[in-house]
Amino acid sequence: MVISAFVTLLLIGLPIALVLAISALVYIFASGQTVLLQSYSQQLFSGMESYGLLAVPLFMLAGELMNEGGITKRLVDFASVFMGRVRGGLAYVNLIVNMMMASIIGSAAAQIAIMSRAIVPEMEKQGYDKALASATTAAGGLLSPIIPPSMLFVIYGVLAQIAIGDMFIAGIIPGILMATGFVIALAVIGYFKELPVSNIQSRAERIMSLKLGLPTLVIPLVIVGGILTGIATPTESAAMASVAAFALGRFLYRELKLSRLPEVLYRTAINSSVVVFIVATAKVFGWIIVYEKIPQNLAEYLTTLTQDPFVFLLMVNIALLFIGMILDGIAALILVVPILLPIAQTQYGIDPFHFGVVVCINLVLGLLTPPVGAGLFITTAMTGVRPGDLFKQLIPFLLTTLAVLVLLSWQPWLVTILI
Amino acid sequence: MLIVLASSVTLLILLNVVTRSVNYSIYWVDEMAIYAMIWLVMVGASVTIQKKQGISVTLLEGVVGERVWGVFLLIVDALILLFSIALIWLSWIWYDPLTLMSLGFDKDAFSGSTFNYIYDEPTLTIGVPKFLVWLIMPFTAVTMTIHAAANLFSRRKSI
Repeated sequence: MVISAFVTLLLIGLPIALVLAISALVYIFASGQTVLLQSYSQQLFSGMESYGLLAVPLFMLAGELMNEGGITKRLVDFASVFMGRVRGGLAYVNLIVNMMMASIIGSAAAQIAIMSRAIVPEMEKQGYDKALASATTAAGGLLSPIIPPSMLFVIYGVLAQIAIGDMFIAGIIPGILMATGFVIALAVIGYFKELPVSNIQSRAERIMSLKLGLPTLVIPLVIVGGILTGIATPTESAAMASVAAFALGRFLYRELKLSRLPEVLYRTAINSSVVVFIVATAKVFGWIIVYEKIPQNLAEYLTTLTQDPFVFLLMVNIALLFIGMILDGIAALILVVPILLPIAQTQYGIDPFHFGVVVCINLVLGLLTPPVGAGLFITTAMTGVRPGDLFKQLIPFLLTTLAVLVLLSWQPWLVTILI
Repeated sequence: MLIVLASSVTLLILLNVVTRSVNYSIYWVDEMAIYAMIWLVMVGASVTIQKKQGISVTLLEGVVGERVWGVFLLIVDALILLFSIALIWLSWIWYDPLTLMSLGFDKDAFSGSTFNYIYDEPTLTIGVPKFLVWLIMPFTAVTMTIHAAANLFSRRKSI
């Protein structure tokens, strides 16, 4: 009953937060446990009473401020200094900047939007195929949720009740693996296809780019350093990153206008409430499905199929690829983790950090796959490439990510060794 | 209001970093920041409804065609309205103001007779009763109902 209500509501286009909230109500009425009604609003409220969730609005703010303050452009110039003369240099610059941006911004969709605007026109001017330029940018955006900080990891940490700081650390090696994989994929593409060489910058220009770009490295240092050394919690380092982004944009580059600040804060508020409200309603839904025993039944069924953790993870991966195709990554994460994590931990002895990284990488892939990949649409909207062309160019990058995913499922130590 | 709340979340967390680095932690800041965020989310939720910015699955949009999808969206708006009205009612039975009034606003008699301890719950560190913080729930329920009704009305007119 709950399941069919849930699927119907989802398919007719009801916002996911309300699908969860209404399904929970349907269950309460269908099962006649009306005593639960009195605490419904309270459950909704307490679903948000979490210190970790505070990181969501703060990371969003840091990203918005960076974008307003002209920091992205400096990062591109900065990375170009090192890759200037290599064949296909700007494509590699694209990946490097994406990696640096990933350690500042926590959301792939935001990063893809920013980067498509910042770098694709430049690549086109140098003679790159537009679809390839867009594909490289979109693929680079996939690094965002894996390299710390990451919105997905924050939410996973809250759901799994594990330390978000450790979760961030767990993402470092997988993130580097993915970035390396993308560079290799690009090199292979470059082997078959002529990629343009960038214009060589003059010495004075290069020194200028270095001088202006160097301070931007402060932001990732503040975030990752603060978390690694334990000086600041992930939430606090997000707040400090906002301050750093504000200071750089306002006082160094002088592109951030104070009159834009209210709008930046407003956008932050709306975007974070979309996400956190889903978390709240998902908690209510989770509180209900415990009564319905859905996780237990699923666990019993799965354990009859396999006893091997690696096979289990592969099955989860395949299922998630399909879920990720039709559901937004964060929403899918919120739905899936409360059901699958207990099974993974108790039946298969899988480390929660390992499980989290695998699930998150898998779900970000959904950003770039049709029919509802948000990243795909953002890129096409920003660059004007046809979705089909873009997807064709994306295939090497998506295959690389899949390979990393299988590798990580197979070798858990790649995730857990740093923690 | 959203802007004020978003800035206060940021400032409260920053205050926490600063005060701790000079070894003078203010213990109520964390709880305050969390409540500020929840208020922000709830107010934001009702704005999201108004602006129809929530994340939803639009898989069937291309499959069923424009007309049927339009009907779906009409149903969606109606459901949102129903839900927000339900949320008002749910807050009502939770706060149960009539019973409280009939007992002369005596919260001990209230919890004694209804086993509803809403008015007895304290906040952990900021020293106000928690039902005041919880008031955001009925507030959102009301604003959400207004927005949902307006959406439904304008959608019906457009079809």
